[in-house]
Amino acid sequence: MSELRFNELRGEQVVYAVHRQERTFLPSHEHCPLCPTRPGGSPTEIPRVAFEIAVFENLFPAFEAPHGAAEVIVYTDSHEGSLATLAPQRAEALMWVWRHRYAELGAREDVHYVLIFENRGVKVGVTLHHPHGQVYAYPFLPPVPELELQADRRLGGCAPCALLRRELEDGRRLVYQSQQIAAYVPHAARWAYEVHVVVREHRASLLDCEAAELRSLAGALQALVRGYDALFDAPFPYVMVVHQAPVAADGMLGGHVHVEFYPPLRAAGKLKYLAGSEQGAGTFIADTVPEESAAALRGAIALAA
Amino acid sequence: MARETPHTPASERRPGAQRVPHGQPGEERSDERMGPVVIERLRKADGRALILYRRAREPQQ
Repeated sequence: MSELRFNELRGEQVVYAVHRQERTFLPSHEHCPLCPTRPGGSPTEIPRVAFEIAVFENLFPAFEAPHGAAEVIVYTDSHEGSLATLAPQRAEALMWVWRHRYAELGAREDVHYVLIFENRGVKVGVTLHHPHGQVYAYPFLPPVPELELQADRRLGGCAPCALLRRELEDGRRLVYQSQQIAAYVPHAARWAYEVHVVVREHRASLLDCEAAELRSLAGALQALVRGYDALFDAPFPYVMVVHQAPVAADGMLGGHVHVEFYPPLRAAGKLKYLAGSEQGAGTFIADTVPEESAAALRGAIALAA
Repeated sequence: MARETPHTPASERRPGAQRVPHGQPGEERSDERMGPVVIERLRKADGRALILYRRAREPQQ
């Protein structure tokens, strides 16, 4: 069971989940716990010989009932591949799975915020290579969504809507557009190739999205990840986070569904580290300019299309 | 039916999104559906929940 301690100096919760030290660490393909259970083989987390998408409660949870939840979302029964290489119909189905987990976990009394995310690549600490993401259902409102609510108040309305309008008017940092979706490197991106993928219409969460928006969101995410992989001609590490409205009564204002990517690479083979200024002062020092990153990424997305 | 949002009262949410008091074992259900996805609920041997999702097969014309 995890323990929450409140860090007074930072004004934030810290989660102690010491049992996670024992979690499976970079197993071989033969011992992958996210693969299907093959006849005669060792049992895995999914007791089927084949499946499309699977969700299960994490064996090493950071949160668990009655204080939240931690789940694993397995995108495919194939050990190889990525979000980008899923068939379009599978990627679209994944959006519905995200929506279902948001609805179900968000309806629980102990859950205040539902975070769907994917860590890709050992450079961001992934411990299983099989294509998958995770869901954390927090028993409190974490700092980042709280900051987004503050941004709504500061801008006098939905902040993602206002920022999207600015990016569409400027145009220099846009990397992808469809009828329902726009993606851009933010004006004040913290990471060299940070991208926000935003539903154009104001939608608080995936529950509010039309089917066509979910289909278009899946297409946008796949196009972006293909572009990332083309940028340095190698699998591109990233942290991908789905931002949606808080679900608890204390956070029922605000929220606009969008997906943020935080890639740690600042150039091919060069990592951006969170060092003195980032950790000690909370101020990012960037080595790149968002407009130039966006131009490079636009080219890579076009190349990979 | 009005579109469901995080503001929608739990009592008005679609099946599968009911507010469940924490600590209460989930109800075993099978073949729910959300959009184009069929939802199959299972329980692993150690008690953890497992949900399998698959795209619904549209009937042949």
